[in-house]
Amino acid sequence: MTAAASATLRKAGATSAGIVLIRVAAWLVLGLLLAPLIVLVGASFSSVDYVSFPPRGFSLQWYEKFFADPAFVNSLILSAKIALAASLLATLLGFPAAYILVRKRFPGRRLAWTLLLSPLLVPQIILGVALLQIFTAAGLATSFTGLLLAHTVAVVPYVVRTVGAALVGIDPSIEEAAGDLGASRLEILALVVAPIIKGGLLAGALFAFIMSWVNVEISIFLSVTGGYTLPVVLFNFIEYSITTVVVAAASIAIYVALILVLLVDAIVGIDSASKL
Amino acid sequence: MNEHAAIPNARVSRQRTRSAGASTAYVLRQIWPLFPALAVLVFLFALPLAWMLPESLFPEGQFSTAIYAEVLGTSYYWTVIGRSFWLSLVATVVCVILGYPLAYYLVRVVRPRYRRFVFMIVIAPLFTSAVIRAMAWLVILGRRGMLNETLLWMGVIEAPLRLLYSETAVIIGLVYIMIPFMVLTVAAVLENVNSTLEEAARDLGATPLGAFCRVTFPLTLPGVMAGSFLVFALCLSSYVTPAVLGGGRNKVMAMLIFEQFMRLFNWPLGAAISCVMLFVTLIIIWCYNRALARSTGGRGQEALL
Repeated sequence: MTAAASATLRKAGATSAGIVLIRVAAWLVLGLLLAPLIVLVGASFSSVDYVSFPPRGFSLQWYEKFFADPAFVNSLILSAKIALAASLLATLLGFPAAYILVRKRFPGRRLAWTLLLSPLLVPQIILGVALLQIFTAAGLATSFTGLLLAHTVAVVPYVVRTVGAALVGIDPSIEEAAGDLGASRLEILALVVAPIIKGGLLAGALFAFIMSWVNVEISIFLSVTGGYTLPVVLFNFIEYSITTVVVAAASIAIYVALILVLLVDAIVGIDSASKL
Repeated sequence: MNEHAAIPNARVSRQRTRSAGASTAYVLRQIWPLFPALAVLVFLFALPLAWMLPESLFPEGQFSTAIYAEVLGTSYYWTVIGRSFWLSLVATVVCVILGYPLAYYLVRVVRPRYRRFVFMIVIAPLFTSAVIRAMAWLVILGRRGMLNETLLWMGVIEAPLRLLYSETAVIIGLVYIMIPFMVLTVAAVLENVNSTLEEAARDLGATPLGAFCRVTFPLTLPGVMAGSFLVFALCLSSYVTPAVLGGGRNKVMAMLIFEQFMRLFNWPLGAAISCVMLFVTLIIIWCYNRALARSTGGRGQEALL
């Protein structure tokens, strides 16, 4: 065997040893990412009311209890309503804004862009208390409207960023043609641009929905009279005690998360979620 | 009128010959769909945040820095601020150590057909609320939790360990939440590093480890820095994880803010602590942007946007 050949072999051997090490390390971390979610889902099927994993026995009674408890069900409905309404509103606001920011050049454009994305940079808890103060002064502090507006502000950036990225690759000449043929600005947006960037719009709305759905640190300051969103209800519970019903509630949220992951992957590809 | 010259639109070029007033009106007409979103952000984001400053500086209608003097002159607050920084720092370092190999695996090693699956595992926790992720660690680390029961069963320990309501528990919880952010940031930068550079180093006689340490790793260092700043900033302001896993004794800044606003109703003091936290966060975010700009050769701003 020549020296060069043995060097190549040595190199290949060392590479695979290094690669094996990286594989092992990566899968350990992936296991760490999955394990807590698996533990929760597993524990939710336990037949005893103190939380245990591996589960003791098997029962669906905690899911039944969850759906029989109006406090839980109402919080689930409130969370879903807020997330749907906030993502819709954020899309209605964010899509035209992103379109203008990508297509037009005007003084203050950069500032406007920064402002629209800056809720991502500010700690959520600070946005929460800032809105608590304003809404208290305006009498909105415990209203559905207040919570909805707060969530909308927090998720608008996801729409602006996703839709903005989708628009960058689109040839503006189609829109100009529509304009020359007499379409109004709104008609261009709704009938020409929206269908072209359908995927980006859906992705933006979906990310907005998810970020509203998982939000705790804003919702916690703006409880709607007589009700909280699901994450806040769970938070209030586990500050004191954790029971299997609560774990079942968390498991339901995990199932929703899995559905959302698959949905994102089916609609826009999971890679696009890396910009979250 | 530079900004007008940049508009690739014939109709606007014609506008340049008109008066400045007419052109302003023209620009406003052009960009009006931007205004609803801007109005919402100004009135429900910028102004409420800005309002915190006078709220904390004019506690009884008169200018006074007394509240800031109280916050910055009381050792209790410094202990809490110090703890917030310390926990965030440790969590960030652990995130780099755990996140880098996974990012490398995701970009360079994984077989294409498993890539999507691995990506889903990294993303999925982000789609669950922080409460749920903290709750999982309650189940694992609790007195009768999974870890204690396992260790007892194996005979490693004789009495259950006190794992919860400690700084360690908070760090574990924070690391768990932040790993995806670190992995995604480093992976994005690693994707832009040409893998043939590492091969070239190998061909020139470097060992695999040497090629990685002296070629690839330095090139991804801005990404590691960007990821670290991002994770550090998010840790520093997190509320749910320390509140659930740290117990009442291990307070962090966010818990102080919550307490002042929701339990003690001392809003000016809460606003002052918020301003301090906001100031620190913005400095860190600025560092993050700079690191990201370096990692993408000046395109950082756009990459973030």
